[in-house]
Amino acid sequence: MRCALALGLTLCALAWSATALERTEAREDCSAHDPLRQPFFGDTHVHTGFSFDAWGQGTLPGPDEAYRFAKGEPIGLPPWSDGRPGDSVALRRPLDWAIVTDHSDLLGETRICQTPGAPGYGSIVCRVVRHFPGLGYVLVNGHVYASESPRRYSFCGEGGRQCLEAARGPWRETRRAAEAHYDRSAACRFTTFVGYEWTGMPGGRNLHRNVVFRNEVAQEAPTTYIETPTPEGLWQALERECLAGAPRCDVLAIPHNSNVSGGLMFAAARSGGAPLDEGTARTRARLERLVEITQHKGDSECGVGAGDELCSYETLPFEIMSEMATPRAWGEPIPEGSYVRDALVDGLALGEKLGVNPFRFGLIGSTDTHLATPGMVDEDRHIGHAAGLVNARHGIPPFPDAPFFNPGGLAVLWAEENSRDALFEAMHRREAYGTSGPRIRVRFFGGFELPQDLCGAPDFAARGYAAGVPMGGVLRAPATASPLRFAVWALRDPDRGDAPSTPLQRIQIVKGWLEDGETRVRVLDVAGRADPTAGVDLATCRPHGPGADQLCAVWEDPEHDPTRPAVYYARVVENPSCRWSQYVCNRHGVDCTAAGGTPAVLEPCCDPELARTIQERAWTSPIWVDPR
Amino acid sequence: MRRWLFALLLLTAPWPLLLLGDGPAPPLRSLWLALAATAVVATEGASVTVRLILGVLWGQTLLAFGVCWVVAWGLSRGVSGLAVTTRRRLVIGLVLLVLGVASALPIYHTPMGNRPRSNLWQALS
Repeated sequence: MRCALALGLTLCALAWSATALERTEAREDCSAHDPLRQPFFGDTHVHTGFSFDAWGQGTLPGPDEAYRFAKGEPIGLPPWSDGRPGDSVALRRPLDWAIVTDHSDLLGETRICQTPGAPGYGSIVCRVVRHFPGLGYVLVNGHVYASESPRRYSFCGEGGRQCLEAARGPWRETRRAAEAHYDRSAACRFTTFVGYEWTGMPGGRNLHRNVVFRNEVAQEAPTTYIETPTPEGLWQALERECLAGAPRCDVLAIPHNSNVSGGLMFAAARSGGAPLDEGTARTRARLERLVEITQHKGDSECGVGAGDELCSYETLPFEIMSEMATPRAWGEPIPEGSYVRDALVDGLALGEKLGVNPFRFGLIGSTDTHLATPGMVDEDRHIGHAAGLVNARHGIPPFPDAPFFNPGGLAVLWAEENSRDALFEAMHRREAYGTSGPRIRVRFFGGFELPQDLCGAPDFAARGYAAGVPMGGVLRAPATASPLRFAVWALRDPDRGDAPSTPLQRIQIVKGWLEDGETRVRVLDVAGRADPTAGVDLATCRPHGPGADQLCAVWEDPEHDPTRPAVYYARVVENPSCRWSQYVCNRHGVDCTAAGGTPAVLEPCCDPELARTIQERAWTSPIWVDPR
Repeated sequence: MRRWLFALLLLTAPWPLLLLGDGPAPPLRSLWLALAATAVVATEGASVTVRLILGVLWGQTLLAFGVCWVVAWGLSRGVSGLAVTTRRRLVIGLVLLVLGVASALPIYHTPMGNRPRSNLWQALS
């Protein structure tokens, strides 16, 4: 009887998932196709020498080199001399997929300033950029990104036409590289997507979005902040030029760095201050299915002071992007309102008010590398990101990054196969999670009929799909009283090549809900525990103490009220390990007590406020429960 | 004499750029940067941020020039008791020595530039 039931559930799950994948492109079927889905590790946020700020800091490789790097080949690093790199680096483990997302703004200007003979090559701006790249970097960024009313330089001609025309070249090359490195064979080794970054930053507040197209059909030209300075304008352009304007075109926008948006990213208002309306909320919910919860420029889950000790992970000491050069003291509380967790809970209230929740985001991590190095997330090999404060033009410095930045994370998609359609659909249904770097495997199901004995069951996934929804899904409370259960399973990063991974410490479930019109949050440990004897030797960075290779729990929410909306996501936490800065300080043998002091470039090593250890983690996309 | 020393200091003193750079570099390079930024602003206009950057560049430049002037004045006062010929020989010798060292050795950074370290002429080019 039980076997028959299990078989039935499996068949039901298979049938359900088999109908989910829709092909929109010509390609061979993948030989490794699993209807119960596999985790594919990737990076949605990669800048190359096509981005003005990357080129301005000495990055020369383009999209081709970035994709080769993601597939496991080495890439050249600054300093570059006559086209030859001063150094090189390769990933320990290749990625399954990646998206080059160069800034759409300044794409043409960058190309013009790089190309002798191009109209505008001899302009004063291009001369300054080439001769004094650091000065050009701050002037151009100040002119475009830190301005309330960004505009093109005069060498772009009337209406910016020359620069918009020049941008077509790199955009074509970006699309060509995505096609060239996409494996359309049955091996399905590597997937790419056409993408770009819309770099909106009104008044220095970060509203950036990465735009990702489902297949090779994309906009004729990427939307720019200069011409389209609001997120609403971006969404309209995507709807007009892709969803409604081109057959087979599908697209998503992924916001990032809400942590430096000064509260703007998740404001319950439209650009200009008008209250959020149902139409705008619906458009946002349609296009923005994922959000970057972690990356090089900090963690956006929750801020210090959110009543959760794990929220102090990689938070930044400034609240808007343009304050990057003048950070506050470590540990100073940052005002709330810019964090994903707040948005997830605020979205419940907006959903009640507007009839649609604009903040129904799945969670991913990515790098935001400006060295064209997707997936370069190892703490022990951090090379910085050439983005902002530490100039890599003359080589990767001994202390390779601003002390408050980090290597960034990865995006993981549960998909049937490694193809564009399968991965894009995973993004669309939010069956995705983010990690701070380690390749932790996590599955998360929720349902009113989930069995209690899922942990250890060989058909965990089949039964999870059959009796509930996976991460990113939405449940509706049933008419009859039923227990709301969540099943979460996590597997330690199984292999890091030449370096050992860190054991898991615990799994937590973060619950947000509405109560009497107020938003509430609770964080609960559901598997494993924080053992104070588990830690890391700071001198060697070797972890010690107890930890788990695998954790699993089926947790029932005894306080679930079927008349109120709620949101749940899981957080998987590793035991403490060395932060990247500790590896750097160890490598250089820094002794802060030594007579004669520490070299100036390594002074951050002796900052008592600098975290020595971190707890790497994974965040699943949430499961929402709509009221009865 | 003071003018010669002032010119020498502007040309060769390894002045640390306090903001927007990673000195030391000759104060004259600071002037180049300020002039380059001014040329961009004159052609293209300036946002609040760019005006701020321009202010920092000119502030640093004027500060460096002021300090060089005070140092040149102090040095010229220090040698004012010497005979004119001795003074002249001393200053010419100093100028030649400093110019020689600054030209031969990469003692400068080139803030906001293409090279990590430079000698005098590279720093000013």
